[in-house]
Amino acid sequence: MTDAREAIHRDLVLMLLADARLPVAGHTQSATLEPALRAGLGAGDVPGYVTTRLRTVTRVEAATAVVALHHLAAGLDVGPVEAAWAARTPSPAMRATSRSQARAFLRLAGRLWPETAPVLAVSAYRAPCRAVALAAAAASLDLEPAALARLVGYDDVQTACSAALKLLPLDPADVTGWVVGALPTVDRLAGEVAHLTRPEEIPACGAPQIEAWAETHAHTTRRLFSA
Amino acid sequence: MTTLTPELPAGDALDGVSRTTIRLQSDPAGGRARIRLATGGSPQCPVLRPMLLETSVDRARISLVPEGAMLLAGDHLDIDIAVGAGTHLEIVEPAGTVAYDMRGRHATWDVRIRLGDGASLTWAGEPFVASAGSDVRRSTSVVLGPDARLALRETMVLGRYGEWPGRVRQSTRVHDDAGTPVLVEELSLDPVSAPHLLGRQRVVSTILLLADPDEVPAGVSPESRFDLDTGGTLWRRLGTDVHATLDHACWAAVR
Repeated sequence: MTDAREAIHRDLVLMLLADARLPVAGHTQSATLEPALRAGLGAGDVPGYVTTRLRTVTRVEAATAVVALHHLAAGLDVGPVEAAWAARTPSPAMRATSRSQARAFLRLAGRLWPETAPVLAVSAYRAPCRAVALAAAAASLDLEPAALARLVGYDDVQTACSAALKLLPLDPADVTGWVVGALPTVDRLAGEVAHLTRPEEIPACGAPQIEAWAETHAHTTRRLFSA
Repeated sequence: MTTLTPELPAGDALDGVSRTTIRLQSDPAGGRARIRLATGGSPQCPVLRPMLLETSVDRARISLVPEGAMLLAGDHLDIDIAVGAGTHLEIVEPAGTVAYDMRGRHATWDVRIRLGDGASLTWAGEPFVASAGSDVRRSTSVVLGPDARLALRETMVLGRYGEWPGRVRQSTRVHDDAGTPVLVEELSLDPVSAPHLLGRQRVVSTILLLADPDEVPAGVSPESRFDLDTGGTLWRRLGTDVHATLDHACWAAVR
């Protein structure tokens, strides 16, 4: 598994990267849903919560990934992309979560595609965020920007919805219905950010309540999910 | 200290913008800092007039006093502040601002701040109330010189008591003078988005302190504290009423 570009269909690459069975500790994440439910959100609020994330924090993450992909594909330094993401992510808990997920992901990518320039370039950084780490894999495997943005959006929806299933008494088919219901929003998000190339173009949509919940959760000892 | 309050040239009156300019600069000869305060622009637009309260060798204290009813549809206020190297500016406001029902139109409130090497700005903003039907585009852009210090308090209130929220699109962009971003945030709050972005709250109270890490007080309001990636701290509280949401202890510690 050294030549990453050798005849792997992009659909298969996307399935692989979106698969919850990937050993990157995705099961430890609730997309901040756990503190949101603790703060009083109910089952009926989950689809709205997912949409709010797609319009705010996940939009920032998807756009960061797309811009990082452009930089890596062009051989440019991703430092300014990381800095743009960090300035748009005021919550230290959310930055720490993203960077620890990136660490796990890069460990895996380093094993699977060790010789590719983007993975090497991003692994050389002190603590890249998850969007930049995903972009390294995408650049190594020739994924399109829109596909990468869809991956980030889809993963966030699935993370929140599958966490809901563990935190609330729900019918799994209903929850899958929420995921399906969010897909047009994911697709729209991807269409809106896929063309971005410059760090300063990354949207900066804040979500003060989600950011506050993320901080509260990071400081509690009573939790099922790490974030 | 030299103080001038001239009206800007009439040419500016045509673009419908009310301008407020504040410049503080140290005296190259080593005397008192020089301050220039100016207002000008559209006669239809209300004015935020900077009134000098106090001065000393390297610092000035100013009150931003509104003249005329504000904030109404079509108002466009542009506040441009430059604090020169080694000088210190403090801004206070005599009262909060209410943005009224704009019936489909909007108002604009732009603030630009440049802080020179070792300069500081402390701005105790009073509550900004977006009444039902208001639509305000607020932007704050800051460029920080080396060792500059900014302490900025802002309180956004969505709707008067018992009222629907107005619409506020707030953009905050802080960079250092090399162009590295420190804090970039856009909040688009309206009756539909606000419940999702703010939970069941209607007041967003923030205190931003960009300063040397040693100057950021350690134990103050840890529950609402967001340490930024490049240094500096944002404290943000969400609440249902202004008095309970304002963090007076935090502001006293950072101002």
